[in-house]
Amino acid sequence: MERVFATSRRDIWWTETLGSAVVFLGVILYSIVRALEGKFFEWGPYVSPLYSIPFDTAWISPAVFTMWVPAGYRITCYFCRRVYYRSIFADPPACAVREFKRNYKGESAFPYILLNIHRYFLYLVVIFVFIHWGHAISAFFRWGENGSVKFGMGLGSLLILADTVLLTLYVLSCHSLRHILGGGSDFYSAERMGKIKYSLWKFVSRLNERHGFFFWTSLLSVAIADFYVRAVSSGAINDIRFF
Amino acid sequence: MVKFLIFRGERGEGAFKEYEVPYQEGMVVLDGVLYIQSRFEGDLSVRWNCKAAKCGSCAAEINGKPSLMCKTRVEHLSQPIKVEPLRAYPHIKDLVADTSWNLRTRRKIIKDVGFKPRKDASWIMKDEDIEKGREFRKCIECALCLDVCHVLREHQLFDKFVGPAYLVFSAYLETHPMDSVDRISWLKEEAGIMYCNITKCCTEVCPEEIHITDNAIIPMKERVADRYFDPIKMLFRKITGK
Repeated sequence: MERVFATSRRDIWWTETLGSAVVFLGVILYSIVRALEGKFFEWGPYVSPLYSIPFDTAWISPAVFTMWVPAGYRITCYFCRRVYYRSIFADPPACAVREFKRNYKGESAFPYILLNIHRYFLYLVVIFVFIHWGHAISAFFRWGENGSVKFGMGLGSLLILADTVLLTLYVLSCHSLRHILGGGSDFYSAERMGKIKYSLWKFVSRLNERHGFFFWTSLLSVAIADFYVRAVSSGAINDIRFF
Repeated sequence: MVKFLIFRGERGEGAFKEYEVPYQEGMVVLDGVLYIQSRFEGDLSVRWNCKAAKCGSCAAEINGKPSLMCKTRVEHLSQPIKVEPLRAYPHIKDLVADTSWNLRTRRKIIKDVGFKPRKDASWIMKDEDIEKGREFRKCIECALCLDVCHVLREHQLFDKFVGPAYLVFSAYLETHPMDSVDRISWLKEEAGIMYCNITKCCTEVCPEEIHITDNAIIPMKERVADRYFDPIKMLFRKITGK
């Protein structure tokens, strides 16, 4: 009987597994700490992407009310499943590497069967994408003392914009979105609105090839943008303004 | 010289034996194995056929990775090159595993949910209608994806899960514009599609570079979710009767 993690592979297979686990758990931990902190999420024109709807509450962090949507979207995401099944649950730890013996049921039984609600988180997260675009655009404008609006750009504006673009691409490349927009059809030329469905399926399919890249980059960009907003908001650093 | 470690034995019992083979430019693992067979070990069992990465017969595990021996160049591998049979399947002899389950599964799919053409549409189809299936048709059924799939390899759920290659085949049938068979409940109940947990190892080893998980399995999972895991759609169907 071979031991767990036994393999004939010669490459350093565990680097991807370990690296993914460190980054993934690191961002989750950072997000939870920041969400519970409940302050330093706004500064001037900047709003932290972790605080999508930054209202003031005296008793609990506003992130608690909103963060479950992007968190739920990511946890049920098909690419994210690959990440945590491999890196966290070692199910399997890597391809052709021995795993723990268990009564395996995959996603056919509770709790993993619940991951099929991904499409509902998709519907909700689309609303958040629009909210994030609102924050990204307003990050380029500052209110003057006399009520005037002035265009300007700081490092925070760019970080928030980059995060919004990556989040948008991550959502647009979603497997469920591809299915909803046209992937469920088989006979485009004969169906009502078949041409549109085909074009949308094709467009999302092209982006879908980079879904993993958008997953990782958007995950990191959220943390980086939030870290910058926190640093500026808490007074740890001054905002780097370009104009 | 190129050093090889070849598994020799029968029915899972045996050991790796070392051989040295002269290197030739462009040499693939199958060249080395056939050299060993012709010069040192006449009784070395190895399955191969086209030597052009199109028949899928020479599937084996090379340095721990399921690969086609005829497509794996030796200069890309660390030595000694370890060659062993597909480990998900029962072992027969040396580098040959019993993959007859594959044929039985394919036959069963054809019998239970095989292609039945619709009568209400023309066979004249446009490019966009056959685009999805074009990728699936590249499958050579080499069994590499089936071997690396942990549902089969580790958990041995051959009786519950048809495996990646046959989900590709099912996706081909299901997405065919002229197909009239409803195989959604079959995918869930008989094919065991929900056993797949999207770890994408099948995609990583596919010699035809089919995006098995992204383009075949996940779209089929989404169709299953449409029917079984989407309460709004279920309610809509109940109300409209569609």
